[in-house]
Amino acid sequence: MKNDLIYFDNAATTFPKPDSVKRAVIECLDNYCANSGRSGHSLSNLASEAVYSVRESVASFLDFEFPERVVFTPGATFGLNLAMKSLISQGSHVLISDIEHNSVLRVAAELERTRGVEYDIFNSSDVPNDVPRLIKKNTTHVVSTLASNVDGSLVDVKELSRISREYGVGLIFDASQLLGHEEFSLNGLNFDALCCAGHKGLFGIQGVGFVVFGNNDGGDGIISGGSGSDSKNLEMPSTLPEKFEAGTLPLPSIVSLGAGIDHINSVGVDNISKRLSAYTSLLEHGLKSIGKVEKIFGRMGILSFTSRDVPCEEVARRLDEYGVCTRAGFHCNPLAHRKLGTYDTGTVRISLSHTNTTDEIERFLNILEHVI
Amino acid sequence: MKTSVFTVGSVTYAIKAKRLLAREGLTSKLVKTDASKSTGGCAYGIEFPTKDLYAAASIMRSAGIYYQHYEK
Repeated sequence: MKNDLIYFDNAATTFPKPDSVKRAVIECLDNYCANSGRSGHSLSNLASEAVYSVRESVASFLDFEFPERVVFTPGATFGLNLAMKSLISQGSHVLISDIEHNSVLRVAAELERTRGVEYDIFNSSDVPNDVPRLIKKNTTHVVSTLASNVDGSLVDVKELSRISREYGVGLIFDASQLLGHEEFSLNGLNFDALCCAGHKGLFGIQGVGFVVFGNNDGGDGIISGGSGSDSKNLEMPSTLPEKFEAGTLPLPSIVSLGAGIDHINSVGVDNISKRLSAYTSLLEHGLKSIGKVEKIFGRMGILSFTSRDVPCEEVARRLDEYGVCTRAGFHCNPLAHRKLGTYDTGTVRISLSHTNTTDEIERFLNILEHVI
Repeated sequence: MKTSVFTVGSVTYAIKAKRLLAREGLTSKLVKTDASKSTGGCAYGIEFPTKDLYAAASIMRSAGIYYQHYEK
């Protein structure tokens, strides 16, 4: 990474990755990058053991007892497609939050077209009242992010869990913008599936995500193919995780996810939260002091703003000329922008990692003042 | 030394079984099991000394892992 580059696009993907992650990937590529769960020779078994160890790391990170219920996917979008298409049946009614990324919204719209699934959108700022109000006789699932990718705002997950028990509906979570930033535990939560990317707050490389299946094993998957076992059967195996893992697993990416979780554990999620919170305050304070910055939304390292005079894409382009990487536009989340009142303009998003520094934030604020 | 094999189907459950046995001090090896011993085709399991058969079976039952046993 260039020394003077300021990377503030960590909600898209964290960069740079920790040295320990890079070392783990190289060690895998050099020493045991065989096909896991396939050939049965020593190297393949070593690869299989490495995959299982990362299932254990993910489960342990989430306070979850069953590593075999951790299914690896190519990313969070694939995971959400898998969870929703596997769990939501023809003719059901589902609720999604008003800050869902297109990885949920577009799947809900697709299910409406293809399976006659109805969906309604609940107010994520008023879960206790709005979710029960919208639940119908045929509501089977509530699908919700845990934290917005536009401004970091949270959804009350404990209340969702309580409501899901009371009304007998399943929960599908998107944890992509929360894990690695804030403490989170699945212990005691009532859920069907939690989906997450591996390359964001968990510091893996691109190419891996996961779904943790809770109360429900899901129905059919969305792809079929080789699973390394039960080969004479025309159907995929019936047990997790293989029933949803057709094809060769991306071992280097999976190993990187394990190393990323180790990195977070070594720094401490609590320390990461404190640093992100302090950085957010510093940024917010700095942005407020720049007269031409108009709207500011954000918490826990994810902050969006608009400029009074310059379109957000142009702000991001000018920042890029100074070596500042941000992201402008709608962040694949029109719902969140509708809620924030930025549906017509989009925002410039700054998304931080604990590896950023106060010096970078101060340099950024100076550059921003100059370019808008 | 006589060895036994527990066939469990998937490699994931085989590794889970191997690690559960290891926690109780029992050594086992991850193996791709003989195709002739399973009806579905490729399968995985664990191989361990037959002297540990009863202890291993008890661990598998406690964990709710379904298996098929054969002597090597």
